[in-house]
Amino acid sequence: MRIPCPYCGPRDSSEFSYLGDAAPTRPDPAAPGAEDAFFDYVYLRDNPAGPLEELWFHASGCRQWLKVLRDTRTHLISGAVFARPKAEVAR
Amino acid sequence: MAETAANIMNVTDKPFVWTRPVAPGLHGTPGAPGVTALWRENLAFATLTVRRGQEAALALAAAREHAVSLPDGPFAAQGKGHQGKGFVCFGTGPGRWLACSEEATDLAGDLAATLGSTATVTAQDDAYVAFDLSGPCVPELLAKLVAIDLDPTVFPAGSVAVTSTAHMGLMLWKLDADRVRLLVGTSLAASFSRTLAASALEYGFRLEAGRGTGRG
Ligand SMILES: [Zn+2]
Repeated sequence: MRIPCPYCGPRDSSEFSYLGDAAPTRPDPAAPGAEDAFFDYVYLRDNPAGPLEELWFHASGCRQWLKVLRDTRTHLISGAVFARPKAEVAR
Repeated sequence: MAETAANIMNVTDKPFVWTRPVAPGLHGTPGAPGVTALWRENLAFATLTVRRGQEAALALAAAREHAVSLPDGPFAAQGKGHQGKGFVCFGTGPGRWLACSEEATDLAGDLAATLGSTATVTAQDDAYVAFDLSGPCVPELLAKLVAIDLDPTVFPAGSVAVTSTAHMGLMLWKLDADRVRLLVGTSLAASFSRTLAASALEYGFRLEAGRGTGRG
């Protein structure tokens, strides 16, 4: 698999580490029902057959988190963008 | 005298040989070497990381103080340092650059003096060892080491790739049409020299020891 890093260009997937579905967002621990919300956040994932937006970290390259669109049936990768807006990139 | 592949890679009677650097000289296929590597430890390095929200201010200061346009991608740009001593900096990630100089004695200090309020400047002089590669078989050698398209049409002189080879971090910098500079972590330099030799023996491999710093 080749991932088109927006900074480095096309790179082999071995340069990246994989986190998974990019959709879940961390709940507010102070909000009511936080315990249930955290259970869902930590354990529950959709398992779609088709395009899925995922988080990949370009560990051997620019050291940025990317959102990569991958088709779970074919491994076809149709795009990758920085996970955070450029002005807020993690250093 | 050229060493054979069996010679250079023979480990049977030499304990810990894998942690030792390849000896300077001609190795592998005899004759004119297809790959020559100059092992250099005399380059100054510094990393530059923009402070949050200071992108525009850093770009201005770099242009004003060093006549350099900080590259917004993995390629190199020339800058003028303290007392006219030149340096090159290239992008290693968004908001991060590595500066390298063959002339400056205190590159990090010079850059910190002018850019320190808009960027974090860190001395890396002992962090990297450079192998400057030249010779007709460098493209074939690099095809074995990295999975990156290095054709001149997409990777012209001044291009840089931060990547890895044989599980070792590697920065590949195309200095000009004929030379490629590889930067590896100093602590991995001996191991990397063996990877380099093993890959280049078939072309004839010449290793030249450049001036060392005497450090580390
Ligand atoms: Zn990257």
